This record gives sequence, structure tokens and C-alpha cells, in this order.
Amino acid sequence: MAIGKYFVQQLNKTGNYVELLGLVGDNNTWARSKGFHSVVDNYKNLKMVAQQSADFDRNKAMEVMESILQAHPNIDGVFCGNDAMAMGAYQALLSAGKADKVKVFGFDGADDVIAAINDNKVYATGMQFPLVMAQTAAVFADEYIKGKRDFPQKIPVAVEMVTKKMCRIM
Amino acid sequence: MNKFLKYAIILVAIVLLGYNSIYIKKLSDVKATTGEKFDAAVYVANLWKEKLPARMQTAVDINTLKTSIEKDGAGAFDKYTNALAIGNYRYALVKGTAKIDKVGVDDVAVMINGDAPFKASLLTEFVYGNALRDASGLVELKEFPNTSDLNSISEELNKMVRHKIVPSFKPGLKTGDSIEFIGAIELNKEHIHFDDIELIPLSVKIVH
Repeated sequence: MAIGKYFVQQLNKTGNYVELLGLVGDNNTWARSKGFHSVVDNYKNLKMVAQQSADFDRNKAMEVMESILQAHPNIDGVFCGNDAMAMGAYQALLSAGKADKVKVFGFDGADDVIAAINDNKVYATGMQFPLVMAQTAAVFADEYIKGKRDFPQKIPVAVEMVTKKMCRIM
Repeated sequence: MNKFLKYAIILVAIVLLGYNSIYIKKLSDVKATTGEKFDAAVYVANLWKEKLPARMQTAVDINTLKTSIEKDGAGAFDKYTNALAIGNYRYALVKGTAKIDKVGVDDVAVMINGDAPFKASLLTEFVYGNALRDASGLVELKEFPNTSDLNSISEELNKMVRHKIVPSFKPGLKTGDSIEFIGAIELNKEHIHFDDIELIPLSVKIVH
């Protein structure tokens, strides 16, 4: 949701955008897309001109973005379901000479995208914390072995949005 | 005869196993027993009316929170903040007084009163995220195994702010007004800053 909000703010609530989805059979693909649209769909002047899967893959994202750009040359933003696709989309935009005009947003917090945010190539990403997830799972397993049974069925781990401003703080 | 008896026993066993292994039910009956779909709008309307007003009265003064975090971060976060998710984000219900600097399209810029006044934004357009749900402390993780239901509670609470709270105070605000406020804030334990903090308003009253 935070990325959706930042996306709307950066596009000033208006413009054409593209969404690159991950694997269509993957739960994360739709969870991320739904969170994004729960904000963006409230702004009628933001028009999604294309929504296509690029399978979470950088090379496929570049190919998909290249073909989308031929059909829709005037876009203002791209939301990608992961960072690899964001880098692929950026590469396609760079080749088309549109990298300065189109704002790219990713998800995951990969090192190369954090560097790209610092270099003004990507606008934002959602940082995930696999180490926290692993540590928490280990702690809960230990508690379970020791007899605790009172656990919630699901425990969310917060995703932190990383922007250029955050990169400066970090 | 023995051979016939043997086959008969095997057949009976297969029939019994088969009978107890396969159940045929009408799809409509199965759907009916899986429980009703969670209605976030009804849940939030009830929360808003029955529980939130009392919870708002327990909001901590924003300057007290700020000072407490500066003195003892971990203790203050434990005492005054809440979060359903694991991570650095913590949420608090805060109150205070402020002076209006500028009434913008998407927010209201204010200066929070105190020994060390600081800038903040009352969000009036981009009211999204889990700040209000988590700051309220009224929603228990164990009650909602479905993440989508948890998210829908946040969406409905945020809608209430955008559609009920914001129209109740924003049209009457002007630069220089003094206000009393109660609202929800998000803090990142690893990157604590109060200056320019965003505040989701729950109550805003002009005071003279």
C-alpha cells in the first residue's frame, strides 16, 4: 500500500501506467498487485494501459516492456511485482530513450535496485526482511518444541518502502 | 467355498473402505458450512462506534511520546505503541495541540506545540496503510487468520477517516487556527524522526 501511495504522489494523481506482474499462479503476485490497486484505483485519472506478466524475470520484463512501449509510447509509470522486473523494465525504457520520463517502482529491496534508487533510475521498492522471517520461524519452532501451542495462524512481517530519501538516511 | 468366502470378505472390506472414504455433498451445502464471508465494513462500523471513542481517550500526548522515546526508546515503544506485523514499524495513538501553517489539497501542514515545536502533516487525502488499525490496539492477530481480512479492516478504517473525519474539520480550517487533535502515527524504530511526521486524524477541533 505504501508503494501505491508513493506511486500516486509521484505521478501527481494523473497519467498512464503499466503493471508488470510476476508468475500468475503465485500468491505473492496477486497480493502485491491487490495492495497496489487498493490505493491507485481510487484515482480515476491514473489509467493502466497494460498489465502483463513477466514471470518475476528480468530478461522477460525487458522484452515485455519493449513490446508494451511500441503499443503505448506515452506512459508515465511502471509498477513491477519484483525488483528483477523493475530492472528489466528500466533497461527497456533506457533503450527507448524514455528512462528519464517514466518512473519505475519495484518490490523486494534487492541490492541492485537500492543502488538504482540512489542513482535515480528506480523510484522506490518494498524492502522485505527474509532474515527476520527466518529468525522468527526459528524462535517459534523453539517455543513449540518447549510446549507452546498458542500461535496465530499467520504473522505478517512488515515491508518497508525504500525511496531516495530513505537511502540517504540508511 | 473357502475361496468364495475369502472373495466375499475382500469385497465387503473394499465396499466398507470405499463407503467411508468418499463423501458426496452438494457444493451449495459445503459453501454454507465454510462460514460467512467477513464483512469488514460492518466490523469497522461497530468498532468505530463501540470501541474507538474510549480508546481515543487513552491517546498519549505526542510530546510525551517524543520525550520518552528520546530517553528510553525500547521502553517507550513497548508502553505506547503497537503493531500487528513483525518489523521496525510501530504505531501510536497520539494527541496534542497545534497551529495551522497551511491548508493544502492533500494535507494540512501544522506546527505541533510543545517545548520544542515541530512540523507535522495531518493527512487528508493519502490516508492509507495500517497506522490506524494498529495504533488503536483493537484488532487481534489471532482473530484474523486471513491476511486479506486484516487488510480490509485497515481499508475500511481509512475510508472512515477520508469520508467522515476529514470533511468534518477541513473546510473550516484556515492558516493561523489553533487546533486540538487526536490521531495515529507511524514510527520506524530504526529511523526515528518526529519532524514532518504524518498524522492520520481521528479528531480535530478548532480552539480559540
